[in-house]
Amino acid sequence: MAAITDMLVPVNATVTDVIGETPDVKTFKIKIDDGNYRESFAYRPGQFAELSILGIGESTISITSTPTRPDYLEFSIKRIGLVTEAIHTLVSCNKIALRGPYGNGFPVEDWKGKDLVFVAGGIGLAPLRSVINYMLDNRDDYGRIQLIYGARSPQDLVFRWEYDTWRQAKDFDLEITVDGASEGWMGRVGFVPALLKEAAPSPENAIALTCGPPVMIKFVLQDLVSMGFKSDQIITTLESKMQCGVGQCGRCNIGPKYICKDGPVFTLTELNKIKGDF
Amino acid sequence: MQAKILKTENLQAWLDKLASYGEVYAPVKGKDTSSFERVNAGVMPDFSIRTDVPPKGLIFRQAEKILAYTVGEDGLEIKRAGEEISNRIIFGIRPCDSRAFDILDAALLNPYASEYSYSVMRERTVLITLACNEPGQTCFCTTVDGSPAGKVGNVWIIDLGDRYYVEALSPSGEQVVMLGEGLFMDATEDDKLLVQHKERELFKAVSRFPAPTVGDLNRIFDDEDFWKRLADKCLSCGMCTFLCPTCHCYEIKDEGNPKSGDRYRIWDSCMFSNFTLAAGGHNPRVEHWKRLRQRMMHKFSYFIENSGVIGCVGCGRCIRSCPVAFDVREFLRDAALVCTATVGSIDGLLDRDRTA
Ligand code: SF4
Ligand code: SF4
Repeated sequence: MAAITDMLVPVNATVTDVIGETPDVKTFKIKIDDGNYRESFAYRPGQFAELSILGIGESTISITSTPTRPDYLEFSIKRIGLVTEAIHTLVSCNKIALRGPYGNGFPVEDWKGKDLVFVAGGIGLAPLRSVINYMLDNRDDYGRIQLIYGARSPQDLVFRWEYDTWRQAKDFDLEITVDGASEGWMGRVGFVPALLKEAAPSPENAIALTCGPPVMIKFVLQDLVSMGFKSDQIITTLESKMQCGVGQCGRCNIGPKYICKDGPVFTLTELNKIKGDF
Repeated sequence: MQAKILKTENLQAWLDKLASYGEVYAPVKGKDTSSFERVNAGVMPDFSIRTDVPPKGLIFRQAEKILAYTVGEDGLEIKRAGEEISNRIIFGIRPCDSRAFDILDAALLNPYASEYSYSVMRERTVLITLACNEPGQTCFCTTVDGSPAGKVGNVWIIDLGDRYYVEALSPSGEQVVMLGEGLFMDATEDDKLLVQHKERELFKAVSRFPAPTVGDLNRIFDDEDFWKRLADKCLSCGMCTFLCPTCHCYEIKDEGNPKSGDRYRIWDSCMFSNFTLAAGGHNPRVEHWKRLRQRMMHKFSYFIENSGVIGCVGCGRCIRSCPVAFDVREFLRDAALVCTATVGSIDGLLDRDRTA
């Protein structure tokens, strides 16, 4: 990125599919129109992009697709503000503007040969899904995969259409819980940290990744530590108000670190070192 | 290029010649405020004033159009903004304001990401820095690694009473000095010695005081009482950030309707409560003291950690403009005191390594 480019200007992209996930989350499949830009858009799991509806604004969204499936990008978007609300009105063939990819992403290369424990809550599964599918596409490089996932209610579980694929994958455990059941729910009820304790993943040769609502992350981090995971083995990805995506606009810093550029992925060791406003 | 001497009566002639290079901006006293304004040939700027408004906005513009968009039958069209920018000269900029651009460069033109409009404006602009013979009441440049005689920018000039000593510091600086060919004489050895002497004297004329190091500030980060006391009066009005030559927080904002409009990069302020408010409602800096802490930490700790330089040039504008008289010098003194109550002499405090 050393060359002087106009990084704040997004490019055109086309929505190719929309999947309704929950009452307020939709997954958008997007294809960048310009072939050259599409090819130069090399990303790794855990990175994010700025999506815009021109005239309304930009929103920071993590990439939920995996670079191993290069035909499209996927973004799972929760409707929480003006921009995401506008994005939710888009249907196939509509245009959207995009720039990125930004952030450090997960060091998936470093984790070859390791077991992976994913602990996610709500829409927090979106950035982790990128890693999960990346690993499934490179299945032999990684050990056992355990996914512990929860949402407020059965209706709020995202990527339900993918669970069967995951369950059938080699050495893959999927455990799901909801905070409150609704009629017809046969699965587990309870909070994510409780399920994590029950599942009791072994820290040996493992990496634990967590993403979800701040309170959940807080408990999960504590629990992982008490289960014997070292701070270096615990990885999380942070969220914050962002605009530029490249460490300039001044919003997303915690201490001297910018979530957009030094993160959003941090090890617990790194987080413990930072003094800042979380 | 040899250092030059320009007779005071020839300053106007040089200024007039500079117009052939591009737009010339110089300090001008307005009705309510003083600022850098375009000066046309024949007009003499007022070099005695230290402007209320820094020249930052001539390069890092307050509202910079990034793009224009239209949504039509055949989809979305995004056009990058980019009017032709003419060459410009900022004449008589003070060393602190000149140095502020080096700090903005570190933030906006770093290898990770480079802000396009700023880079174009920066490239097109020549800074002719005028040394401060009479430092102001609120100046503290020497405490933050600067000097009233700091050689920064593209040309450096100092008033020697009946003549100016002129030194080009870069190729573009040489180019604008050459425009005044015939008006200049080569500086003599005596001139050079005199200037060196003045540089030392001017440095001493601005009092230095102990300031906290990165380590100090990290230690008091969690001292809530300290920050609450500090921010007690602060109104979060943002005046200090808008008049600061090194503040560069911005917002990206659209103006228009679903069919057509523009996107701008606009100055923003970390002192505003909604600055860090996320769409979901989370806000890490709701309390005003956390925002003042952020501003101080950013300038005097984070910036040093990330870019190796202090994010403040000691111009004193935030002190002069604050409606409730928040004084950044008092913050620096207090923070240094709180942290180093045990450290020996003032001299020891002054010369500590700030990155430590
Ligand atoms: S100018 Fe003064 S009152 Fe206003 S935000 Fe800055 S410190 Fe606070
Ligand atoms: S913080 Fe205050 S003294 Fe320092 S550069 Fe900004 S306005 Fe000047």
